[in-house]
Amino acid sequence: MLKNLLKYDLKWILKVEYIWSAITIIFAILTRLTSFLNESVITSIIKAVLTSITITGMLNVLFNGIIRTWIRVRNNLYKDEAYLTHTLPVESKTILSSKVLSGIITMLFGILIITISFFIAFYNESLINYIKESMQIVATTLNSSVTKILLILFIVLFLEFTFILMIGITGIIKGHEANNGKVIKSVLYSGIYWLSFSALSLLIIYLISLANKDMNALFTGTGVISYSALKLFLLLVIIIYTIYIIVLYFISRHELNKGVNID
Amino acid sequence: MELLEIKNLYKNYGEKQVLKNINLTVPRGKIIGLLGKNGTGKTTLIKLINGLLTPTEGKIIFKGEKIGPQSKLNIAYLPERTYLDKSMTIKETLYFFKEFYANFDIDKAKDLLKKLDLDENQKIVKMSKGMQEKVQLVLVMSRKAELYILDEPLGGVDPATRDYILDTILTNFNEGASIIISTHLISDIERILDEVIFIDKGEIKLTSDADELRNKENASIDEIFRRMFKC
Repeated sequence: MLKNLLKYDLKWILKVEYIWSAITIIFAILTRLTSFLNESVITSIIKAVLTSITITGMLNVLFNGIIRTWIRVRNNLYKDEAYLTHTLPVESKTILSSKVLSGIITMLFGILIITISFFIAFYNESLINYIKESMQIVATTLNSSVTKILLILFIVLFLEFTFILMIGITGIIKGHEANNGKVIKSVLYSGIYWLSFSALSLLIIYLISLANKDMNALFTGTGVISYSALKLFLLLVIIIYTIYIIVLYFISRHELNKGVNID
Repeated sequence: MELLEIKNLYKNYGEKQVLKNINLTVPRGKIIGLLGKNGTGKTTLIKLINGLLTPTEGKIIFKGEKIGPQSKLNIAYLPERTYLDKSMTIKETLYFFKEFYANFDIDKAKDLLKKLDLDENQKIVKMSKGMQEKVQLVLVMSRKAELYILDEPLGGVDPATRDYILDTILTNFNEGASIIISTHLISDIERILDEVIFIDKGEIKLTSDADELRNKENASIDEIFRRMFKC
């Protein structure tokens, strides 16, 4: 049943995502084409405009996927379509898993489109060499490899966005338990969850820094932080986000299991 | 074992009590009219049976089990609202039902839709509300369910459509199954009812065999209802 639900959720969410992706790629191609034009004031303006649109499109592909997932959760679980969703012979945890997974898959799709658009629009040897060299300097300083650094950065960003996705989903589910003002309460709960978890993260890192001299520099020092402190910090970020995502999933699951109240 | 049992059911919205101490059993093979004026708790009761609302207190048992995936497979529910994904075509909706309900008879649904002269490739969003409701009725009645719950299926439709709806219900429901029809348009459906439940102000005021009640009061169900709930 999860497979079936996922199919319909993805179909709904990606329908608009495909359009934005196509528009972004088209603008990325147009941006690339401007590099073949002779330099002039007009071509610089055109280039600047197209570059801005491409970058906006890239960001939009990512955020639009998250927002569409939230809309899908609300429509499917609490609006008219909920009359069908909640009468399907499916457990509520399966419905939730489908929404979360479709959001994550859409996000990964967005990242893929961003990467493709970036290379179409901005790829050139000197830029790639510059990125490579910069990454190599960071990698050498941190006694690591470029691949490792890129992988860690990808994981951190992916977890950060999955956390934002889950904050929204949990906020919507919690907000719709109320008898009225459901949208406002959804936003409010999302805000409360985000603030609480952010404050908790800071507290955890602070407590760990009390026992770790390198980490302590994050709170007391102003200079460049050491390799071991950064390594520990990134590790903590990955662990903390992973735990938060799991906790938010189980809060949502618990609330849905208690039952719904559809208007 | 009864098909559906409701024990000491209460539903509150904040301070407001919408259903009070509902006790009800639904046997197999009966057509039951859930009759009451607008806003008396009929839809709330139906939504509770279908798991769309959470009871404040009490139990709802379907074939000995709490409401869950198994009961949802065996209860075919037609709500007052149009719940279909508007971006889908009729054909996609048919396959959606086939994928989720093992007891959905797609051939029967296609046959019923053909009689409505509907193009399967038509998008739901381009259909009138009345037509969407007819498609929903076809989808619900094409399931081999054990209990059909139809919430105001005759509400807001012309007499000719009422006949079509009643005919579709009577000729298509699974043999041996029960039907609960909620309505305030009693005269239109009383001829098909085996049992009646009168509900008012969130309480069940009367449950009876339809024929017995008619004979006892020497009046139609519609007349008895009007007498009982005169404003």
